[in-house]
Amino acid sequence: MTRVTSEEKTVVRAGVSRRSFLRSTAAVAGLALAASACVPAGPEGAGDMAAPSEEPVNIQIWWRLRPTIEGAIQVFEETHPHITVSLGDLGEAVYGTPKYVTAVAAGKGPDVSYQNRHTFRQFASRNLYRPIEDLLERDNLDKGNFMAGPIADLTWQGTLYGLPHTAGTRYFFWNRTHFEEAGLDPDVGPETWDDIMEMAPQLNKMEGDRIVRYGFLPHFPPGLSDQLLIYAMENGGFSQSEDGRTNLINTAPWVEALEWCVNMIDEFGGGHAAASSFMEGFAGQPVDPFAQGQVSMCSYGNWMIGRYAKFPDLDYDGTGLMPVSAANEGAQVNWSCGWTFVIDPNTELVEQGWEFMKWVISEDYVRAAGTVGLELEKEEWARQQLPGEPIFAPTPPVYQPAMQFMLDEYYSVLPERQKLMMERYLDSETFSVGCGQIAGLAAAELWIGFKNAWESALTKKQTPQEALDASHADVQKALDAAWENLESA
Amino acid sequence: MAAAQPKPRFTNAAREALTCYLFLLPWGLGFLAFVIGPVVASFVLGFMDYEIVTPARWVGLANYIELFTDDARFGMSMGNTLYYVLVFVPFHVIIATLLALLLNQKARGIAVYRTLFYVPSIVPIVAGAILWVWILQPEWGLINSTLRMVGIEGPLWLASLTWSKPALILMALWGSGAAMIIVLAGLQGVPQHLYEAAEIDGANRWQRFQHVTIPMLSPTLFFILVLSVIASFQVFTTAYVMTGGGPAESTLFYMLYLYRRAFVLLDMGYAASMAWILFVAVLALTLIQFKLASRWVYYEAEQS
Repeated sequence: MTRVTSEEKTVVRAGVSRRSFLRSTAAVAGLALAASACVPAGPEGAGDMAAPSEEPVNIQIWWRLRPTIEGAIQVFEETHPHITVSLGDLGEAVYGTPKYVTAVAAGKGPDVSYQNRHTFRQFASRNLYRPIEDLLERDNLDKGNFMAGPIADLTWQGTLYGLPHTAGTRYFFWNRTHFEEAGLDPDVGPETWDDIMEMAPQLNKMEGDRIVRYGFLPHFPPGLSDQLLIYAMENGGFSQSEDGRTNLINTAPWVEALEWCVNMIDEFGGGHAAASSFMEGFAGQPVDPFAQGQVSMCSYGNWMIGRYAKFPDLDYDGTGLMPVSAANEGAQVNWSCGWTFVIDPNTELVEQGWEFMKWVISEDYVRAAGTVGLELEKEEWARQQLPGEPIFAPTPPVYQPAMQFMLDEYYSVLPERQKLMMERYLDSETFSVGCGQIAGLAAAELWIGFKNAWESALTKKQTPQEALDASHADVQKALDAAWENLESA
Repeated sequence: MAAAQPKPRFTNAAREALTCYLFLLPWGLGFLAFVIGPVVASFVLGFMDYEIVTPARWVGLANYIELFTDDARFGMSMGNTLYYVLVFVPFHVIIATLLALLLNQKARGIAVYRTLFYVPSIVPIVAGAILWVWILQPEWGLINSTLRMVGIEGPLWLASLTWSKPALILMALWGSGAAMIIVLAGLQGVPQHLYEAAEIDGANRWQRFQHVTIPMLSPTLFFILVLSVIASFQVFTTAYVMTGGGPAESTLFYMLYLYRRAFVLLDMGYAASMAWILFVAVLALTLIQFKLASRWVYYEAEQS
């Protein structure tokens, strides 16, 4: 009887046949071996092996588990025979990372872990990550080879605490078909809030007095709790003072932004009850209302460029240049976030962990994950009987050589529209503010503050000013406590 | 003359006791390490500023003072929890009792009905929560679709400030099967001769229920009441999964707030003090229930 490994089970669960998983893994392994012989390593020293020891050393890595990762890890183990990897799931990582934090506090953390960047400074300041400046310097890994924003996010008091892996910004999408139907130019999306207010009613579709297609809903997508941030930034808002000690989310740009969202829903969304009822219908569903053609414009993220391609009836376009308020006209606005690898401050397997981190940011990883990912995409395409060739637009890496590889290997073969959208996304990374810098030392409280203010204002429990005042008070209290603890330590 | 038998070192009773304690030792050590230890630690942590990742600092009563004087969420989350307890517990006991009465009939296929009503209580709570998110969906969810068929526009349920708590209570009531089974067992323990005697005395159906069933069932109902109150004060999972405490913190129950302070905001000392306040509140309520029990709970053994 053939034994089915956990990796295979994971892949089968994801809807991929065992045969195709084996085929893709074999392909990845073959490619990786060939690549190790003829392709220069990504970052300096990535893939270099220490003197071989008798027994491979096992390192624990907590990641957000997906089939592509399992496949990539197999490649890592084959090209690094002195290291084996035990993968674990990171768990909740938006409102803090309780699993990682408690494990590190107990001295039982993983050797390497994935971490979200918006909470990064909060945890770096509490010594939850090992500083990596010494390793970076030793291996001549140049910070200049990474996107600047993520490196800034991961730097606390002049020291780098992690290697950024992926990045992503907010992204504004529109439905070209709906634009044409409404007599709007499908090649040009809204550039300002005034444009949105002008276009939204033209794109709304009514059945009697009921809206069945929304031109624009500010609280799209369902469940995304930090939408307030991008609207405030579009209106010139900053989340905190330059020294990171004063929270600013109850200042005029924030209040005006929240007022604008509430008014948009009241004026063009049929009011909160109707709009929420509509939006709740999509909560927890794999398909969102924009993909289904029930919303014409939406403020979402660049990672949807590839995902929306799976909907053959959806003719969409988008930009990373977010529409701004009249007060902020002409400004290039966006925020960027993503994932990062860190080393547990207590681990003794620093070298092995670091070796993995250098590999995972390199083009070797992009190739390994991309090969499995493309195979999965082909399976998905076939399963859904989608027309044409699979459109594969994997998450962009932060390390420039790996990014270049991704551009050459995957983005260059995208259809023209998606290729253009990816270029616009990459452009938006150059002017985006990193979420780590936005969130500062009270990130978890700030994200809760966004959610509370957003829901309180939209449900009319409080006015935007009252809601933001309340959230500001909570965040400021947490911020004061964080600085006080830091300075008294 | 036979040599005197050496006196055994332990008597039989002592040996028996020693064996007993030896068998109890593993459990006792586990209880000390994993129950008593954390309980004592949490009590001490309640007087400390402890962020999990930094050394704890003694702050005396500061956490308790802040809770009562400078934390609006403490009162709000306790208010949300009290609402849940006050609405859920009576409905829970009544529904469990009514279901048990219904399923105590000698009807064909009654075992199947009993199983059907019991099944929801063994559905994993997260799976049940996901299912109810769909049932409560305002546009096309089962409840609102049914209401729409009779001309009623249902509420937003989980997205509504007013209806979010009733929605979670409704879901919790769906799992009343476990209590129903306990009541059913209680009902089947009521001696038949009491009903016969009441019938001979001319008691009608309602009088038999009022004067025989309820008194005989009262210890069971009391048991369910006490457990339900304790469990309701600790409501967490459904709110965590279905609403995350929203909208606008209308389902931020006490335990959810405690979890947030401990594991999201890393304020473990503060969370420990919250846990002790809840413990004292639930203990006090339980003692009051026991005190009041003598007025309505009938124990046959005490009467004889």
